[in-house]
Amino acid sequence: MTLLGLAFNSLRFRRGSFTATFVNVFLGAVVLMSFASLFDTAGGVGVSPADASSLTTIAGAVGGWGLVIVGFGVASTMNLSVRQRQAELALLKATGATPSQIGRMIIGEGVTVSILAALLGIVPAWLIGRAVLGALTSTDQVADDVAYRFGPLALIAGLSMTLLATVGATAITARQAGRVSAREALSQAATDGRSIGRGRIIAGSLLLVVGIACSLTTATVLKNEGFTTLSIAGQACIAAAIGLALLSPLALRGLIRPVDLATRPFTGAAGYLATTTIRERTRQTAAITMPVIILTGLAAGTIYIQKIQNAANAADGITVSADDKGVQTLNFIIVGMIALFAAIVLINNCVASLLARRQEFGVARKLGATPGQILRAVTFETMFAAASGLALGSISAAIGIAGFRYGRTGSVGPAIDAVPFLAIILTVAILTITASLSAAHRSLAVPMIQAAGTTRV
Amino acid sequence: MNAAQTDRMDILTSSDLTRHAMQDPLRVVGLTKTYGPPSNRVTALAGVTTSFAAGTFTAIMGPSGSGKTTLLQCASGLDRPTGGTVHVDGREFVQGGEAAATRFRRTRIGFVFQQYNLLPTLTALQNVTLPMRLAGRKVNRRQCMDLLEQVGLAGFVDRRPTELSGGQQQRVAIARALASRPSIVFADEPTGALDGTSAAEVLSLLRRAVDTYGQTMVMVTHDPIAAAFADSVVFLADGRIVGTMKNPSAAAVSEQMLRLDLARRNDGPR
Ligand SMILES: Nc1ncnc2c1ncn2[C@@H]1O[C@H](COP(=O)(O)OP(=O)(O)OP(=O)(O)O)[C@@H](O)[C@H]1O
Ligand SMILES: [Mg+2]
Repeated sequence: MTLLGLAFNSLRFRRGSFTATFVNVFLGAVVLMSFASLFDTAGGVGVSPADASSLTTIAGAVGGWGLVIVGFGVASTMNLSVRQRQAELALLKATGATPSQIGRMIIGEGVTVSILAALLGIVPAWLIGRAVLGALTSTDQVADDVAYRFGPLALIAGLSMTLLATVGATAITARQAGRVSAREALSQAATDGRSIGRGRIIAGSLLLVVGIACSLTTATVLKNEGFTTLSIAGQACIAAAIGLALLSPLALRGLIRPVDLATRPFTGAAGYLATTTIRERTRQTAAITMPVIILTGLAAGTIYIQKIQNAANAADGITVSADDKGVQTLNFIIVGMIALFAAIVLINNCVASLLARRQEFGVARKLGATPGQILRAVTFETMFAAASGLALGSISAAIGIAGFRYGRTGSVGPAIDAVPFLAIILTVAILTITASLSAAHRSLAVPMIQAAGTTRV
Repeated sequence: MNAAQTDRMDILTSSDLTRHAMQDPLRVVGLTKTYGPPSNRVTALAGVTTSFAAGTFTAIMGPSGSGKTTLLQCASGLDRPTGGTVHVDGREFVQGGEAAATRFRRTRIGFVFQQYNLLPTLTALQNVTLPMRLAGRKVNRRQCMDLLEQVGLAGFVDRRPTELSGGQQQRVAIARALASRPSIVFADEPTGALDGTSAAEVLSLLRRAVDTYGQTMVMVTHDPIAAAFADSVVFLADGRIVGTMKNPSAAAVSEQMLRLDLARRNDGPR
């Protein structure tokens, strides 16, 4: 059997983790293509320059960060699924596959899944793009006679970017898998991510600095520039969120020690299993933390910045025009879609990582762990990951909000209305707990002997 | 083996159940296990009835695929037999929910897995203490360290499984099974990855566990020398008990295995 054949074989057998990648790429492609189609529309015959410019501005606003977030989401799931296969890849290496064969196999699998997913995304993207244009015309931001077009730019944006993210993420992992010896790979698979790459720390710190800088600008030089200020404040949240997401393994490692000490008396063996897993496999935990950070940073940031803007406008006696309303609605649609994407990545990462731990759970069951103990350990892990994500996401939102609020009102006190924030916390908690526990349940449904398999873990 | 041990043994097969057997810590009656769909049925156990008395060391031998691992897994409650019953400490094994079965099993039974089954995120010492933690017992660290020392791993307690050789991993698994002093210990080829000297050390350790603490040891092995450490040997072929031997010597065991093999060949493969 050729390695490509092997790749297809493994696609069939690892349906869980490939489904996760597939869903992420599909949704990412939908988000990107639906907004990129506005570029196509702007380029249509008979579109006035003013209309074309509003369309490209809106598409561009989503484009930049939407792209980063989609890329980030796809990469995180992809990375998770390849990491979980380190042991299998090591075995292939030991049986004589060369590093480049393995690389081709992993990338081949990723690309196959991504192309399929992106192609399937075309129809929904077309529908959503048309709906967004409908919203724009009905709020009079573009003329009624602008015709919707879904053209080459949408396709290029959707396909090339999802492919780029996939190939990028798999190539890095494939290179790592190819470089280390079979034995080292097995050991890495066991204790995944005890070292955190320097590149990751540098990139994360830089993005965090960019976020803070954006926030400072909205507090000072750019404080009264209307929508520009608003959008830079939003970007401060996003940059800080992605920066903190990259740095999250460090934060998790720092937090687990005190949490372990504080909870040990109550959580028993389940807590013990959970804390050792978090310590030894921080990256696996971070795969849940990262989308929570982005979801929280983005949603909390946008909602509160808009609230502050509205309150300040009302205080200044400015009446809000229909135009402003339209922009606000659009802003929420855009952020809503990206937040939805982050939520799906979150669910996917929870499910994929837990289904892949079936064997590990099987071994623990053979050693005397009851299903209840394993479910409690999973709950502990998930709650820790989600709570850390909520904390870091709130920090990133606060970075954007504080600057904007100071620029707009001259004070930095905390925002007043707690309801949206509580809603975000509740959403994240429900999503992570349901996704994790249902996946863990499924992992436990298999008899322990079968689940533990025959591998010498 | 000395002659004094002879009267302590009562390995009982098929119909010769005596009243002693009822009090034995482990008894299996008519145990069967089949795998696969009806069209392609594999019979791993075809009705095994036997009993293991307290403080005895029994070796189970037989060709590869004869059902040794399956017998251990069903007898220890790790797997559900298709038919028959398992009695531990005079109580029928609860085959109800997994949680109840696990709670029953983990306080009474230790298991050395053929595939080691160490948790990769834990160090050697943490792996040894894990069953006690799971059972909610107080962890006797000193005793665990002693056991690791006795299997020759004093300097390796803080290593993770991937940083250990196969034989070292196997010895961690042995220390783990003995750590909580369970009344019954099952060991599936516990010396399969060990050299002669380490194997002899481990076997003496198992022997001491039986002699000192009165634990009941059931060990699968392919090695006649290892079998000679036991009080008796049960021979398994095609999921059935085909013979027993008391006070085994390596030579006698080898001879018996050859004879059984020859008989099987003359019968033709099933
Ligand atoms: N999950 C399974 N599905 C189908 N058949 C199985 C399964 N597990 C074991 N078997 C079959 O049951 C029989 C007994 O297997 P078992 O593992 O008990 O053998 P064993 O005596 O331990 O062999 P070895 O000495 O090689 O470890 C074998 O024929 C095996 O192929
Ligand atoms: Mg076996």
